[in-house]
This record gives sequence, C-alpha cells and structure tokens, in this order.
Amino acid sequence: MTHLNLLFEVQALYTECAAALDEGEFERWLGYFASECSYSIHTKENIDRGWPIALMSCTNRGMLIDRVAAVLKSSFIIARVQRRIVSGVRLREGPEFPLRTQASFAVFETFTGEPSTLFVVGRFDDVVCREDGVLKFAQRRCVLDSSIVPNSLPYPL
Amino acid sequence: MHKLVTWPSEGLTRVPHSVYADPAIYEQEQIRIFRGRSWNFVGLLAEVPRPGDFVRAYVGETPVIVARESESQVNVLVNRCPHKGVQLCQEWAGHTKTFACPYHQWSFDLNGSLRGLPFRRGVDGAGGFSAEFDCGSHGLDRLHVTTHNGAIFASFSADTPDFARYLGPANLMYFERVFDGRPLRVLGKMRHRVATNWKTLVENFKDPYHATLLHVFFATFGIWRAGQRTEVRIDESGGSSTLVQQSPVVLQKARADEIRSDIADQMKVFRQDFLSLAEPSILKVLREFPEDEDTVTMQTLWPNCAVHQNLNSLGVRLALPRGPHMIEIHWTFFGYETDTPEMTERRLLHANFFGPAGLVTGDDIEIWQLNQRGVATTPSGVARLEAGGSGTEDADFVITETAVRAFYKHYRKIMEL
Ligand SMILES: [Fe+2]
Repeated sequence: MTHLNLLFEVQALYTECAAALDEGEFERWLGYFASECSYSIHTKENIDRGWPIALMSCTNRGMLIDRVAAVLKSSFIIARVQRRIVSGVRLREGPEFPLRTQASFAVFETFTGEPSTLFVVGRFDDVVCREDGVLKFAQRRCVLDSSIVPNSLPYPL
Repeated sequence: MHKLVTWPSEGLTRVPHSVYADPAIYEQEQIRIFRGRSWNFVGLLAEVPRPGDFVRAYVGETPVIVARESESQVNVLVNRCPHKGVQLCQEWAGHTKTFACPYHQWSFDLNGSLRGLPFRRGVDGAGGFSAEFDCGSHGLDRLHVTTHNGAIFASFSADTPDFARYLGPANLMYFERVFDGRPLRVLGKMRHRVATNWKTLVENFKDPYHATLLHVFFATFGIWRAGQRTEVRIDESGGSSTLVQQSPVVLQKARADEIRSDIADQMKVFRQDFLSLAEPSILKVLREFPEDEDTVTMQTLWPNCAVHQNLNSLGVRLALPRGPHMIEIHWTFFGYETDTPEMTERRLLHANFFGPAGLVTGDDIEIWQLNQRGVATTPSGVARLEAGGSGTEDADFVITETAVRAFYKHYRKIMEL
C-alpha cells in the first residue's frame, strides 16, 4: 500500500511538472527541482553512440534558472501552445530514496492559425528525491526517440 | 537556355525572392552546385576510425555512405543499389565488410564494387545473368574524396579545385586553426528540420549585422556585442568566408556606463537593468589556440557548410536542402583526443548556445522560418543587401552584408543567373 502511495505521489509530480510547462509557468516548474539538480535533453542516437552531447544541458540549478530567464526574457520564440502527454510513470528503483523513475512523453505544438502537430516523443529517465517532505527531481534526462527535431526546441520538455 | 530569373539591375545589392522558392532554380542548384564542382562535408575521420566503419551522410539531397576501407582510404558511395535503386543502408553508423541490398542480395565492397550476385548463373542452368554481365560496371556510384586534417569532403565532380585553393588562403588559415591535424574526438550530433531555404542559413551565418539586434541573450545578460572587433574575410570567388570576432566580453553592471549610449539607443532590446546570470560560470572560457588573440570564428564553406569556434565549442553544421522550402541541419560537435576533462566539460556546456535548443541559434531558427514565409508568398519581391556598402570586399566592421553579397556573386556565376 505504501508503494502504491509513493507511485501515486511520483505520478502527481510528473503531472504537475508537465502542466506547469504547458501553462507557461516556468517559475513554478523550477519549484519541482531539488536544490541540487541537473536537467538535460538528449537524442537516442547520441546515447546509442555513447556521445555525451545534449541539446540542452543544465548541470546545476543555477543553469536551469538561467535557461528559464532566457526563455522568458531574452529569446525570440514564435508563439505556440504546447501540450504534454505523460504516460506510463514507473518506479525503476525504490521505494528507498533516491528513486529512479521513468515515463513516456509526447509533446504536441499548436501555432496560431495552424492545426496541431506532434512535436517530439521520448522518455524521461529521472532521479527523484524528497526535500522538505516533498518529492522533487534531482535529475531529469529527456531522451528523444528521433534524432531529428522539427524546427527549434526553445522550451524545456 | 532561357534564364530562370532576371536578376535586378542593381546587381550585387539585390537578391530576387524566387531563388528561395522556385522549384526550377532548386533543381538547377542540385545539378550545378551540389552535384557540381563543390566540396561537401560528409563527416570526420574520427567517426570512422577503423577499417570497416561507416556512417551515413548527404551531399545535397543525395544520401551517401562514408566507408573506411583501409587505414589510408575512405570512400564516399551513393547509398543506392544500382540494380533497382533501393537504399542500401538505413542506420546512421556501423561496422561491416559489405553492403548488401535487402531486395535481391546484391552485395558491394567498401569501395562500392559489386562482389556478390546470387543466382548469377540461374538455377539448374536456366536463367541468371549472361557471361557478358560485367560486375565491374555495376558498382555503387562513387564520389571524389578529399580529407583535410580529419575532415572528409566529397564531390561529384572530378575537377573541383584542390581543397586549399577551394577555400582560399585566409579561410584555409582559420579552417586550420580548428582542424590543425590533432586527432579529433566526436562529442555528438544534433539534427533538426527547419521550414526554410538552405541559402537563408548561409546568409545568416555570414551576417554579423543581425547578431547584436536579434540575439537578445547577450544584451540581456550584459555581454556586449556591437562594439566587438569584427573582421570579414572573403575568398576570391566569394563563395566561402570567415567572420572573426572578439570573444564576447562580459560587462559587469558597474561598467554599464562604459557602453556608448549612441549604440545602445539603436538597440530596441538594450536594457540598462542587466539581468545577472545565476550561473555566470557558463561563460568561463578555457584558453586554447594560443595565437588566436581571443577571437571566435564562424567559417562558411561553399556551398552549405559552416564551422564554428566560439567560446569552447567546436562544430561543423550543414544546411542540407530538402526541397525549396525545407532543410535539415546536421551538426557535428567535437573536440580533440588530447582534451582534458575540464575542456570537454566546457565544450559540452557551451553547446547550450548552439543547435535546435541553442540560447543563440534558437533565435535564428525562428527568423529563418519567418523569412521563408515572406519570400515564398511574394516571389516577385527582392531582398536588399546594402549594409556596409555595395561591394564584396573584406570588412573590419560589424554592420555589413559584404559576405552575403559575395556569396551571391559566386552563386550567380555557378548558376549562370
Ligand atoms: Fe544569429
């Protein structure tokens, strides 16, 4: 029963995190990360080849804050609505902390006057810890299935 | 042949929009430029270190296989079975002795020769291929190859000038700053597909004018650009050029008064209230290339290739045409075998400025798309290139489009437009 509660709690973290980005609330999104954390977006191609490059790589919280500041204040981005579908949240290691968790994601994009399109599909490969009684991401790695991204990737996933 | 477009009488300072949108011009570009006398970057030797290693790449639209046949021999083969036209190889990379077509199992050596032909003599003496069928004339199409300090280039033409002459002395010097002969270490690939014309990217890479105005990241975080020392070095043909700039200078808030207000007033994006980076160490640059006097370079190699050396990031990118209105951009990031772990860490961190999620290139990607929407819907329109005069000579100032004019000078010659 505890295990189910924990899974439910992890699921809620994933859902809230996705909703914050969909709603453009990046400051709130930052709140789902631990004080010591990392965030990166990779492609399966690079992972399979053993190449370390990431499309986005924040190795600490400060860099994540700067990325959000850049999105909000210093980047030219064509306006769009994004919708994240997160599914199949699972505990790979736990219930002892830190947890290793995974989920699949699909992100759809809608530009003004255009029909919605599928943007990217992939897998979250995460480490979750408990900080001040609340679950937070200590590490989030997004791995894209395709090696090719449509246009640009201005927002975190 | 009648001209595909009448170039405006102003000449070098005008580019007709139809060159970005007309399918007939696009078709001629494939023939005259990408299948003509051009050196096309197809990969690094470090991607195919052992005999038998191969990677997939493109020359313009044409899919190719880059195969290491031996220690000294790298072949570039069209990824198409000569029997029926089936694509042979689907994976990005691998290791093999032969490429076999999945359809009828014709198989080819690493140099493209036809080696295996199942049922060559038919079955029970009936059918099959005649004794005259010459395996030697049914191999994979093979391109001309040149390598320069670890970079591999391919050409469909036998009389493309040798690589040094192709780039010209100034560009070669900057190319060899990065490709100096040290063995390279691949750090990875980024690829994206953008709804624009391939020349729009090349123009963007050659344009120092926009950087101060579009790339708000620098101004927002107090990294000054407009006053940066800039040099534009253009080869004799006009096709290749190098943009050399002083490394981004980080200004402290206390030094904001040093910024000339006559420059700041021109920049809509300029803010006196600089944000400070929560993690300013991202801008820490380890010194390399001792002779470089702290300059960064952006080299564009005719036709569609660029090499960047900026902060500690090194990379090659290609703007691969996919029809008049679409491109794929393929980036290869690398360092040197001899890099320290600290240097590799810098190179990986500084990749944050580049690629589809780049803190700087992200802005450009959006502009390229909007640019295409404009030119494609008004084919009779013209672009105006009058910044920094009307010529195609070298420059030592920021607000200039000289390298873009030079590119079109060469483009018109090759395209006979
Ligand atoms: Fe730019």
